[in-house]
This record gives sequence, structure tokens and C-alpha cells, in this order.
Amino acid sequence: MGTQHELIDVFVWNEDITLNNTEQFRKAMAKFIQNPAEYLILNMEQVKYINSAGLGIIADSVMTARKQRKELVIAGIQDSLQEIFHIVKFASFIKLFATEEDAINYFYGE
Amino acid sequence: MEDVVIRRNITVMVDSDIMKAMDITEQIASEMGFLPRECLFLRLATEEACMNAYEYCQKTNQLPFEVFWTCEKEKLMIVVKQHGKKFDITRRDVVNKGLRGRGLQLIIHIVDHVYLEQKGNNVLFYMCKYKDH
Repeated sequence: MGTQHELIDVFVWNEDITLNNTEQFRKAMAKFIQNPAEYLILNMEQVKYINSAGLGIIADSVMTARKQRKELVIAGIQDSLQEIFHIVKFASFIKLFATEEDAINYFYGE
Repeated sequence: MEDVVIRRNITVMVDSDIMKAMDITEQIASEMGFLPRECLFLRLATEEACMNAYEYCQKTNQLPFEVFWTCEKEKLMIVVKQHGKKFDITRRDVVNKGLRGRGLQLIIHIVDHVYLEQKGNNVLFYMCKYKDH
């Protein structure tokens, strides 16, 4: 489920991430970061819950993308997700945005 | 001690039991009057504690393990009892860019107090959360 904005590709994940779907999320992210687009946005607007395995997949995807000279950012971070990301200090090495539009503007330098 | 009530317990053998444990935490926390946000976070602490125990017990062929919930008026205690020895629960606020190692970090932030107790061949991991409203 992706939306193309020229060099930007957006992947929308809209389920809470628990032990039930961690593997599905891992595979989806592995596929997403192989995308030819240089700028990648993971939209988590509908997600309220993420376990540590899901957090690890995001961190690893960000670092893998970086090695491939791409940038993966996270958009649509609200309420509980924001607090979870704060606990694990994601903001110190991942760009986080409240909306997808904010993330797109970041890549367009606006 | 009279107002301490053991509300529930569950034996975890397969990963679907962990989902049940998460549901039980959320249900008890909600009944005790914790806010929806707190219930969600307690659910997360339960998943993380159970996954840590599950992975360890699976690797060492020591499944199943047990989860207990005890409630007092203002305090919920979630206890994970597994075979094995005490493990490190030191709080570490480091930036982790890797795949693993955030479970305990989440638990320690979510609950008010964590501690371990060794009882024979079992180690009990206690997570306490107080109502603050």
C-alpha cells in the first residue's frame, strides 16, 4: 500500500504491531526499503500500539536505508506512539513527523 | 494483607497465551479505573515481560511459565514467574539503533516499580503500577 510522490515513496501501515503480526511487518518493511525511491515515508497514522520487536524493525530499517543512501522517516505519529518513541529515544536518530504532509515537505525542503 | 486479592493467573505455553495475558491485564486495569492510555501501556508491559520469559524458556526448554495479577485498591501488580535465575533489570537510557533490547526499557518506563525475587528454581519478575488519579 504505497503512494508515489516522484522521489518519495509512502508506505502506510495501519495495524497495531503485536507478536501476532511482527513477522508480517518485518517482511513489509524489508520490501519497502528495497524500493528505488530515495526518500521513504512510513505512515503510522492508524497505529496506537507497537511492541519492542516492531520498534527494532523500524530502527533496523532506518539504518539499512541509510546504508543504501536513502532516508526513511516516520509520519503520522500521535499520542501513545509518540510516547513510546520518546521512551526509546527514536527522535535522536530518526526524523519523526506528526503528518505525512510534514514529512513530504521535509523532503522537498519546505 | 486482607485487601490483597489474587485476581487471575495464566500458564503460558504458546504465544497465543501471551495475547490472552495482554487482554487480562487490559481488562483488570480497566476495571480498576486506570485510564485507557495507562491500560494500553500496561498491555505493552505485559507483552514485553511475557516475550522475554517466553524466548528465554523456549531457548532453554523450560516452558511453560506463569503470569499472576494481584490488585490492591490503588495498585496493580503483574508477576511473571519462570524457571531460571535473576537477570539484569538495570535501567539504561541509551540510544539503541539495533533490532533488539528495548523490552525492559519500555517496561521500566511504563510501570512505577520493578523487582525480582528468586524462589528456588524460579525467578519472579514483579511489575507494580499505582493509580495516580
